[in-house]
Amino acid sequence: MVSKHSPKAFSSAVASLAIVLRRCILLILTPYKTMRKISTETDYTQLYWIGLFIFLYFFIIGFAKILTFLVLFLGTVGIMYAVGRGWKKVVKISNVLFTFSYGLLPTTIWFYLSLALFYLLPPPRTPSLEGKIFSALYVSFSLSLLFWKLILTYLAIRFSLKLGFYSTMFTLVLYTICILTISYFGFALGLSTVPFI
Amino acid sequence: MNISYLKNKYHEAFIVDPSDLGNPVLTKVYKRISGNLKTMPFIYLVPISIVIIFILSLLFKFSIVRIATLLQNGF
Repeated sequence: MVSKHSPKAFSSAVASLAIVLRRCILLILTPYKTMRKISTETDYTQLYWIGLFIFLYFFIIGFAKILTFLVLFLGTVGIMYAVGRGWKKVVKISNVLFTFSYGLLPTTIWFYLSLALFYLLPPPRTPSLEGKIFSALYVSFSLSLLFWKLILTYLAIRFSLKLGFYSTMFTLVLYTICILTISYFGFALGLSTVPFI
Repeated sequence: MNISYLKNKYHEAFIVDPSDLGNPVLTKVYKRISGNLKTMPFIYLVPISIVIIFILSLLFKFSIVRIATLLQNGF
């Protein structure tokens, strides 16, 4: 149900937005005069608009990351389904979706671990003995997770597409090349350093 | 032999054909390696990773510290 005060509130919000936009320009042209006027401001709606602009930035940044992940993951499922059909196999999209979804477990663990370590032991690492030991353990653990990821991806391809060893390995190598190429472009465009896939 | 074990094996074979590499020796090696990785793969993966990193750092003199920093900034 629409309140009878809605049109008034809406026009007031739009007016506040217009003031915010105008002041943004005025802050460039006449900062002293504008800031003096702003210091006596009492319209809190303007703060909501400024907050919304800032929130929108973080939303777009987050959205870009989510979109990258969705493109990579759904692209993976789609490509695998197409590959399975290409090998003349009876492939169920649900099988590919489930196996590759569970195949994201090593990736998720690595990203959570890196997130935790980023705050517990923030980079850059030092060349001291402790720094070297931590670096060796961290890189070794990352490599172990990568091997685990490769095993799970191999099994996901093998069980969802029902392929033999050579066909599975061939698909896995092609898939890895695809992911590396996409990752390179993602890195070059500044979307992600390590792809979430 | 347990009947449920046989049923399970039959079901596995029904889902996907047993791997055959075309050469009995290769198939045997594959089965031995994959057999070890089927349960608790980390028992093998973690030591192998540590050895690989150690050998690579000795061979190529790359900085493990720099890679760790890059990875930590990469998530």
